Amino acid sequence: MTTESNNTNSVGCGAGEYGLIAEFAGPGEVLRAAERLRVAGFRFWDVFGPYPLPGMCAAMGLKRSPVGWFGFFGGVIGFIIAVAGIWYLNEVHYPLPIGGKPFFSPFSAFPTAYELAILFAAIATFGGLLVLTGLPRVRHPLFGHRRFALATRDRFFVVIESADPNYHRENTQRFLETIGAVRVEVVMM
Amino acid sequence: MSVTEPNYDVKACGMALAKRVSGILICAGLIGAVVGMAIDLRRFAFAWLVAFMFFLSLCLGSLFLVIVHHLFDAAWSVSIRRICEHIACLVFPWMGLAFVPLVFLGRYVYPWGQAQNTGLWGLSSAADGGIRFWAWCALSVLFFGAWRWLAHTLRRLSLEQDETGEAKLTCRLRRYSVGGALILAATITGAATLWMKGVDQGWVSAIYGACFFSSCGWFAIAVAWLLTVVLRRNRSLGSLLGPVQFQSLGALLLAFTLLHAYMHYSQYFVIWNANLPEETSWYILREQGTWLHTGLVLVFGHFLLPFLVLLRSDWKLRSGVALAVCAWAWPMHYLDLAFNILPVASPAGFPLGSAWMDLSCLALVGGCLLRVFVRDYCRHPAFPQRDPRLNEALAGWDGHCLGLAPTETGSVWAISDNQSTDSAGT
Amino acid sequence: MNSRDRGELSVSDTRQHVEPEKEARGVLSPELVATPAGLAREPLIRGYRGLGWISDEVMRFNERSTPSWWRAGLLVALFLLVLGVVMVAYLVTTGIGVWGVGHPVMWGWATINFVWWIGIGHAGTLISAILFLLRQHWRTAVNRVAEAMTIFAVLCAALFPIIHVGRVWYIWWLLPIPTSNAVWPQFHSPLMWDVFAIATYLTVSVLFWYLGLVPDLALMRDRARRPVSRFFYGLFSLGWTGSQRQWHHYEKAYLIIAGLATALVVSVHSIVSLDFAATQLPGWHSTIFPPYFVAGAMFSGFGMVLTLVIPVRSLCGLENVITKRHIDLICKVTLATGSIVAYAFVVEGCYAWFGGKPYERFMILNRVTGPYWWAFLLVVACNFLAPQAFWFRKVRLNLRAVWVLSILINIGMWMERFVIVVGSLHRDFVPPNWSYYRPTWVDVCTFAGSFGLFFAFFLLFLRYLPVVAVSELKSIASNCISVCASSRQRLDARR
Repeated sequence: MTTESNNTNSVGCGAGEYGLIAEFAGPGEVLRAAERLRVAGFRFWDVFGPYPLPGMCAAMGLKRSPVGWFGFFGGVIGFIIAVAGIWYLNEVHYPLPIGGKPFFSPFSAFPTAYELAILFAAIATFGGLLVLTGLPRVRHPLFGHRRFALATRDRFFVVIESADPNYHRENTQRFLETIGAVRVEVVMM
Repeated sequence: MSVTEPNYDVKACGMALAKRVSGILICAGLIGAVVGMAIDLRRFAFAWLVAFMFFLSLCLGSLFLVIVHHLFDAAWSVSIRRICEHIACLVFPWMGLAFVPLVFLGRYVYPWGQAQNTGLWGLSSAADGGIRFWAWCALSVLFFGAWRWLAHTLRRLSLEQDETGEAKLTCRLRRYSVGGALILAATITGAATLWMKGVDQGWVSAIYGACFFSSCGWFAIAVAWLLTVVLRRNRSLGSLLGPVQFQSLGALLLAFTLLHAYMHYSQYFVIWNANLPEETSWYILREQGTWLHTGLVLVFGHFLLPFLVLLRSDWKLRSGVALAVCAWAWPMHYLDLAFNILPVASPAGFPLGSAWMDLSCLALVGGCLLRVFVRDYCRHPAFPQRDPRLNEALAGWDGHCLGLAPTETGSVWAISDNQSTDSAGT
Repeated sequence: MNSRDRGELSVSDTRQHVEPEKEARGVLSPELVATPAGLAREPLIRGYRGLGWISDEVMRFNERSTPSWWRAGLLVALFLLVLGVVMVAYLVTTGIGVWGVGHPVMWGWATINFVWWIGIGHAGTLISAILFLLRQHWRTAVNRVAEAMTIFAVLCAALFPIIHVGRVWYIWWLLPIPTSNAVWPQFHSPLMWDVFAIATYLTVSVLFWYLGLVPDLALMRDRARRPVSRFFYGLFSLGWTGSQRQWHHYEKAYLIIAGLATALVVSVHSIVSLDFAATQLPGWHSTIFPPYFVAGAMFSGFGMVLTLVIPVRSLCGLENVITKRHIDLICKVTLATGSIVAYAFVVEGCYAWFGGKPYERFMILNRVTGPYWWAFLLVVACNFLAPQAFWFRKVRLNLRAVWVLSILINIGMWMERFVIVVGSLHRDFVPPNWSYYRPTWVDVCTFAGSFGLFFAFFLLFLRYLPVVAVSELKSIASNCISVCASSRQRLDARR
């Protein structure tokens, strides 16, 4: 990747450079830093840590997760498939008189439909989560970084990708240091 | 640190309106009730039973909330506990007084007063376990005694804690609640069986007590939520009511909406499957005429609509939604009880023509109870002032926040460097 | 202990009284009282030394060399498993007659085992989902174990109805698969609902469990020293980075699946109960059965959680994370669910008796005084009397006593299903049919085999997966500090 000059301060992005990784001392520090980064208008950046920080969604300006809609529609589809299927099998295609009950009854179809709705909703939620988080992803530039493995342990990192229009290696590095980063390093692709 | 409330009596001015409303309710209800009594005593007996069960379920549900608060050592519900205690204490003497007419009117309603049983199966003695008038009265007295003891003990100790602030009282309250939960379970089941299911089939569906319990809880939560929203607007409980309280009340209401539906679906489904005449007769009676539509209204209005509305977590924080849901709970709860009780009185369908009798009885009992509630509420502090968990309720904790071991807390913030780098793969 | 978060919050202000006239008029005056010593909430983590310490503490067992008790346990479990496989092979090649079932007791041990195992399988979801929705943070230390228990118990449970059908090779008839014979399953049958309920329960439990595991697997990947374990943990952690954008969706998804699992756990055992309640048999047909079975499932499940967690915490060195407070709380939940079961048991009896139907009355009399009176006594003793010991704090904190009681509860709940299944069947409407049911050695060995299956899986889980939900534990450990700090600010501001 060559130097870009289409943006005012987007210079100095070296070839194969993924971005800057900044380490923070604790959850409070990284929360404040995230607030500052959002205000500063960064777009391709993220915070990494061993657990979801409360208040981080607001600090990073994240919108309500749409993963619930996957579950909702999954459930609705599951329910409809089950009811329609049972109706077709027991009423249309192969009617059997059982216990003096109607061939198709919403009551006896309900347990199966309910289970299928939950099954579909759960699978759809899980699938929606994978879609929204971009997982599974086997390779990631950050996995190559020496200290990044600590993110699942007890460390908090902020990563700003070089793709960000505001990215400038030195300026951003300095900015990260002013907002409390303990250590800022460059991550390569 | 005294709270920055204005010095004039916020509570009293909010309550003047409540008093006026209760006055109107009592007057209108009284007129309706007298007229109803003159026109049709049998129908009036049923109307009175509906009104009685309506408010009894509210009291018992509130008692349940108080007990559950103590049992779970919850923090958020400290804010609403005093309200619930007051409502629970209405059960005696006030609901006891409302019960007295039933002793006289019962012969129009219950099998023990009738020559011929309305049920389709068996004799009058089999329909309610052969219970006789004296046994019915004795059990009723027993129930009221238990509730009186439970509700008033829980409130008395809680008020005592306002004075002394002793932690010992919390432990005592907890101990009473443990026994109280068992007593409440037994008495609610008994009351539902004797007073409600006993109208046409006493001991037929074993889940009936649990069904009635879920109705009690559902309605009591809706009323508690309504009161918190109203009282927060009145600013008298304001600082104690935060998102945690509203979120929790909404979640509880959602849970009880589901529980109620689950219980009733279980009952219906088991009976529907087995198809035994002595059981299905209860539902067959409730599928005649407009009762079928009443049942459908309940399915959609009592379950589906609140369920869908309460599913959204952010909506629970909107006071408009809360008011709408809680107001909606009143007619639904009335229909629920009417569906259980009234088909015996008017088998042809929902008694639209004489529903005014139900409403006047509801207004009469409700007006009286509202007046008592306002009196109690103004007489005592609006919340348990020295509850040990008040801090947590004030701060909006969800109560079961992690405590950390005392000795190590100092090093929590400073996660030292040598600790974190060692064994992690780098 | 002022440095404790809760203490700190309230020590600064202990104003002791309110002006009476203010109180009388009801004007607000919330005051802050220091939490009294007796009511302070006990810590959920002992000796907390930071987030990294939690990982070390939990992973210690996974990272040490294989202990001998683990090898021995696995050996025993595999032996039982082989025994079970042999028994199943014998059953399939010979026929259902090798079991003690026969007219009129057509459902014997296999059905009891099925209900018992699936009941045990409910505590996992209860702990992980319902207690999660109730914001009971103590669940975090035990939910992983309980979820694992759930999955393996459901596997064991699913085995029994499958082999009970007799001709196992036709088991696919239960599924609505389009085939040339054009015969479809009919959905009025509770057994069909079972198929869907259990399949869904197994799938969703695995999903929920796996979803909780993903961040912890990433942690194990990052800690792994050997390339092969790094590869496998890396593969199954799906490339989780711990990004807050991922966490954001993750938390929501976890909440939703917890809600779904809660709705599911109640429905599954209700459907299992409908296997009985949908019939017309006295003793089976009772409207309270669905909630009754759900409560029973939770009760037995919590009994099994206690049975497993108490050894696990000392064998895996998790005393700091699974503290005595956890055991104490689980005992309380066990007692509560046990009381609900007792309530349902009594109510069922009362309704059967007072309902005045002769068959129902006979069933109740027969349950108490009939040939299986001993089973009824065992149920009362193990299920209803034994848990009463949990009223006492001393008992709840005595791990040996709790463990013994939990075993009694397991036995009691098994006997309860025995009373329901065999006790209702063995004397049906026609007296010449009456008989006394006895299991055969094949019944016993098959049941033992299911234990082999369960413990083999469970031991493998203990060894190769994080036994405690590490990231959740970190979350509550750290969030508490920040919540305490922020609420202190809030209170200061109010002042």
